Amino acid sequence: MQKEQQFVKLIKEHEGILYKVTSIYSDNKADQQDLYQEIVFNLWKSFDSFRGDSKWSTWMYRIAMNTSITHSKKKKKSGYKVNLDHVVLREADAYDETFEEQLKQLYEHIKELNVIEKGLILLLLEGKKYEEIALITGLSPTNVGTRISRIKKKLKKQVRH
Amino acid sequence: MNLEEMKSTWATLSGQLEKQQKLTDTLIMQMTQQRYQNKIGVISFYESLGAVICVAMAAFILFNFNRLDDGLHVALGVYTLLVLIGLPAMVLWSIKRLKQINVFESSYKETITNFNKRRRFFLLVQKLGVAFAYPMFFGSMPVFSKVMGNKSMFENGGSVGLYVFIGIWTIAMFFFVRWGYSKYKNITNSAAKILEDLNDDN
Repeated sequence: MQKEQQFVKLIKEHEGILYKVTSIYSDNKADQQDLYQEIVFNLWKSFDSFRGDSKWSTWMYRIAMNTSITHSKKKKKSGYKVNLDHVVLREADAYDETFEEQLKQLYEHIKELNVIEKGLILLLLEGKKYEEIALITGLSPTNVGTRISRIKKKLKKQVRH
Repeated sequence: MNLEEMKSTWATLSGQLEKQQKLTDTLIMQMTQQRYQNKIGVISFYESLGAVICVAMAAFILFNFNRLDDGLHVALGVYTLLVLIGLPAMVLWSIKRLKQINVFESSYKETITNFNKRRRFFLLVQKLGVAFAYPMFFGSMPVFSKVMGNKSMFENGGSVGLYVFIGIWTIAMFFFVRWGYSKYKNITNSAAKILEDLNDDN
């Protein structure tokens, strides 16, 4: 199988990861599209270095989150403006109103967190164990545990307000 | 919203995402379009470079056209100018038509049909280029001899060195043109392959 085909196949199998990461780290659709492209580009650039030692999804999370964090910092620093391109991100056309409202609330809570915490909560919501989160983020499992309990406290505080 | 509720909403979102596939189809189309453009871009680069050289040569002849002082030289000058300007223009136009193929705008069948039509035209222009290149090469020598050194090759004849140069250049040009044509054929073949892959992916 050609390199491009293999890449597309893997992206296709795990595209949900890209959608979820970009939705957490962007403020609007144009920004999400731009971040999505940046992540795919970085994944493609480093595709040769993926040796299969870790799971493809773990590697994908790592690149996606690193790209998103850099993207967020860059945006904050320079008021980075994005241009709309051809990528059309999926529309949430199948959602019902109640679900849409819940999703909105969920994103509002997440937006209150800092860039690192956003990544950690994303992985926690994805059902990842502390060890895997540590592998993706490069933090130690204990540090992951500490940070996550801090996030939980923050979230509780948000709910109370 | 507590963490458990967040998890449940997130799981619903994940489930919804599993069902949809719009995003990757677009991604594949984009990558295909990009790879196709890269292939055609190679041809475009070399041909644009060639066109700049041809136009520069044509401009040089035009600025010194008054040196062509008899009917034969003027006729050869006009022919050289026409080929130097007309041929690159046609080549660039045929490449532009190839570049305009857009996998987003038409169906798979239309894309392939359009591409094959435009590719045939592009290769025909290349063949025409070969057909005109030899007469232009021989026809332009007296013209350049006049505009550069104000000497008539017809009156003074040429040196042995010049004839050896013409001989070697003629043979070299034959091989170069053959090599160039097969190279372009290969590039357009692989561009066709990229477009055909669309069918496998979808």
